[in-house]
Amino acid sequence: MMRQLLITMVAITALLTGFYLSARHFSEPAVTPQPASIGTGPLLGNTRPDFQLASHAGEFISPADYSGKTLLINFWATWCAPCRQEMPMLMDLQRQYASSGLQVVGIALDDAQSVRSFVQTYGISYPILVGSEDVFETSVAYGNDEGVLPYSVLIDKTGVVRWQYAGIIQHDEITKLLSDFL
Amino acid sequence: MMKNKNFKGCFSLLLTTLLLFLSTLATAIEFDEIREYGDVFEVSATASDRQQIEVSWKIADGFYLYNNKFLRFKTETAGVILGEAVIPPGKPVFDDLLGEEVIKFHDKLTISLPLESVAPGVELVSLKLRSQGCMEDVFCYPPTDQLLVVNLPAAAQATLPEASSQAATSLADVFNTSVTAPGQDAINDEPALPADEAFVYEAISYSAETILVRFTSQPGYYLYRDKLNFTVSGDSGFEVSSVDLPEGTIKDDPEFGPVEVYFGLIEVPVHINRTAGPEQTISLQADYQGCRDGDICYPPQTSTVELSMPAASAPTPGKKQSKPPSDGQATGAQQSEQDVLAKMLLSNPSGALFAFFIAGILLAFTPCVFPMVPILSGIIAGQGERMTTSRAFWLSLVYVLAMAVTYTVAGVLAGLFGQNLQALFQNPWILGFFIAIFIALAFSMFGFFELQLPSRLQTRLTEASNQQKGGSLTGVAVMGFLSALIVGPCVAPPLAAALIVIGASGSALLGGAALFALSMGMGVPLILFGVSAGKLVPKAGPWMDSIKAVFGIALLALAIWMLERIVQGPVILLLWGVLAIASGVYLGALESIPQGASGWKRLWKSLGLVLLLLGTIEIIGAASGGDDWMKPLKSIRSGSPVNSVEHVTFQRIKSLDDLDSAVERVNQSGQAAMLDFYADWCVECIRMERNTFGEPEIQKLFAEIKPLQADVTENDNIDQALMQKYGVIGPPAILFFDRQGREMPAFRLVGYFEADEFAKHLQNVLEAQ
Repeated sequence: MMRQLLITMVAITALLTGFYLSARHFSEPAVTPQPASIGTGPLLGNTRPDFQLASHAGEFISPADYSGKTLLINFWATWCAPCRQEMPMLMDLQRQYASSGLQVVGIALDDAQSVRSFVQTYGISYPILVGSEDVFETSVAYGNDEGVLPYSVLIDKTGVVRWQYAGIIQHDEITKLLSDFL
Repeated sequence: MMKNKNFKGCFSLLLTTLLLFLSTLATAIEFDEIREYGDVFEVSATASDRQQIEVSWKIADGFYLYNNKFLRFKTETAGVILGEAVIPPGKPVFDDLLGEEVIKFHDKLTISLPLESVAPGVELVSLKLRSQGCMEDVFCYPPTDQLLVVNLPAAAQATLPEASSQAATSLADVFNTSVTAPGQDAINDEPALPADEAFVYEAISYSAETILVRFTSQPGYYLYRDKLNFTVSGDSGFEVSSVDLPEGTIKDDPEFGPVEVYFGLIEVPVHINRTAGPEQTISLQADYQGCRDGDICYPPQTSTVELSMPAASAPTPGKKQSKPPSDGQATGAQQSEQDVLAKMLLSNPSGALFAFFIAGILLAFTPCVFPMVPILSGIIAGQGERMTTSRAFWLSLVYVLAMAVTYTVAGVLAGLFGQNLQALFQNPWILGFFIAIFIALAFSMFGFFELQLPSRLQTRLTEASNQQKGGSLTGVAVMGFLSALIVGPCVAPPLAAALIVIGASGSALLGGAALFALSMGMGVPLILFGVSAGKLVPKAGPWMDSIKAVFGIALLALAIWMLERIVQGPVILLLWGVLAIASGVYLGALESIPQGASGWKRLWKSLGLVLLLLGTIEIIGAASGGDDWMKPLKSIRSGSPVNSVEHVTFQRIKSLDDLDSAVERVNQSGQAAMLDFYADWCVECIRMERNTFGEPEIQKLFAEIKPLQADVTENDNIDQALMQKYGVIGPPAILFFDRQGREMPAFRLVGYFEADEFAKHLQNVLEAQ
């Protein structure tokens, strides 16, 4: 009796271990080794909140449209001087890392007309979404309680928030981050 | 193209210089260092006469305000017209980045707002000041509205009426005394002010759905934050939806410990739910309580102010602020339980599998698993003399393994194809078939007949397996399989978590392993029970018959319990009544006890009588139209059929379109919405309806979160489309929609919740709006 019980227990343990080991083996891509989290922010390590916002061209875009890419979301406005300061760098990043799977997305807290003429004048090459209340709320949902600009969030390929930053992005910091997550 | 290049060249240069500059300057802002707008740009306003209002901002170091298109001033006070604001010229500077001249104000900005006309009698003016500012070289705030109320001096010829506020009779007025705080001597020589002079209550309509309230405490007096409460008195169709109380000062009260209090002046936006309608006068009642510092406390006070609310053309959404309240959690920061579990499963599989196993053991003590106890023990007891402990163990193990594998496979299929197998099996015919089997099993327990296969078939089977073991092991496996599918359909958070993992990572194996660990956990108490049943059940004799009879009754109870998913209301009560009475009679409730009978006999008889009584109550309940067997006499007590009370607040919806329009309607009346997925076969849903939703505290919250219900009992294409849209595997699941009609994934609930827990969650949902 005791022997039977023992054998059964061993069998169940072995079964569970087997399940676990094979699960770990097969789910390798889903469980990427996680670099130490950098920066601070309430959303780090969480799945990105969803949103659906209109682009300056009038189509609706949500983060799922870029699934599989590393997303750098940048909240900005044409009337925000620090935002304008960092945009050339964002364009450079998009050009430099596009082939490695980076997608920069700008979200403007602004009126569509100003954004359209800004995009045309400066030839902004990455997608720009625009809105007012909805953009503000998206920004808050992304951990930006006060809705300040510029505000940037880096989201890895699996949709997990890896970096949140208020203010002008520093070139060294972002390139180091991108080398970790791309 | 050329232009483009120039821009980039020019900017690259600028960028490099800036980067060099920035790298020497640590500008990284920690999240908790981002100050609130009102804290950085502190605004105040005064009016020395009825000609103009002076508005001034105190600007924190390192920040500035712009004079740009966002700088705007508005009032919604009836009878007041603002003139053109006089803004100091400032010093225009050319901003390279913006490509234009801008005017920035540091330290301080004072503007004067002329009042072009003020109706006589107006004493309070509400102001909405929109402005926009930045932290130098770091970030900018979005354009932000600040609300203020300004006191106007009375017109020269007018006497000073006590505003529009009429201090209503309070207890203090009636007794004309103040209450001395216990344990404190009056240390202040000055006589205490009457309550309505110590605390001045004023209110003004700010917009069609917002009232600004101002409380002024005289120096040395304070109000308790948690005692402030506002209600609209009378039957006006207006009601208070929420109150944005500012943060107070923490005061270490000798009696209550640290409490939050207000000294001086506070302004409180009070948001109103209303229907459309013309301008209307309403009464806003304030309940408050305060003290003189270190001295005396006043009893709770009630004052009412009459104010006129502007017309609302269409039903207005309750409150729409340009900024969320600072204490409101960002929606994204909260995570639902199953998301946490799913994330844990992905990051730490071994720990998570163990957690699932433990969760399974806990789940075993819920109505999901209860019904399996009589089935398994019935099978084991049914084996009679042939039962040994090891055999009981093997039978239980096989039963549990079959159940676990079924749960796992069903779960993985649900995850991969979004099809809920358990829901498919909740078909009246299948349920009916099973109920028949349970009844047959029960009768065989009572010894009416032996439940056996035709003897010819039995011999063949016996020959085939050469041992009687194989046959009953297969039987018990089949029972385990069917039990998992039909008897205990449960969508508990761990199950949902495993399914999310499967959906999100595509790792069916990991999700499956989690489900298996969960089900095995659920099986552990079952195995223990089965083994002890096998050990304890005597081999033969009258005792054996009694125990079999008990299992027989348990199986009948199970049949009734399952029948509840098909037949509702009084019929179930009647059946419970009949079962209870029959059991009572079986226990000898109606037989007389012979002289000198054993104590046991007397005990059984008393138990039988109790059952008899319970059964009678159930039948009375059935006759009076009750439909909750847990509370059979509820319908008699409340004097009306129960169901009208319990379901009244739930608006039923069916399709996605229904949902959209229902949520839109709810939003139009300024409420948030809640969608409850329900099915007749969902045990936990019925428990929620009975124990949780009916509670008065929940009903009160339902005034702000309108409950909708999707009945997915049929599980047809429309139901499935609805569930799939939100990734819901099956009931019980509750979704929330905010006042803009968007689903709030972080607040999803799966599983059963007690009233207080649920109330707390509803509060959180409201705060996150």
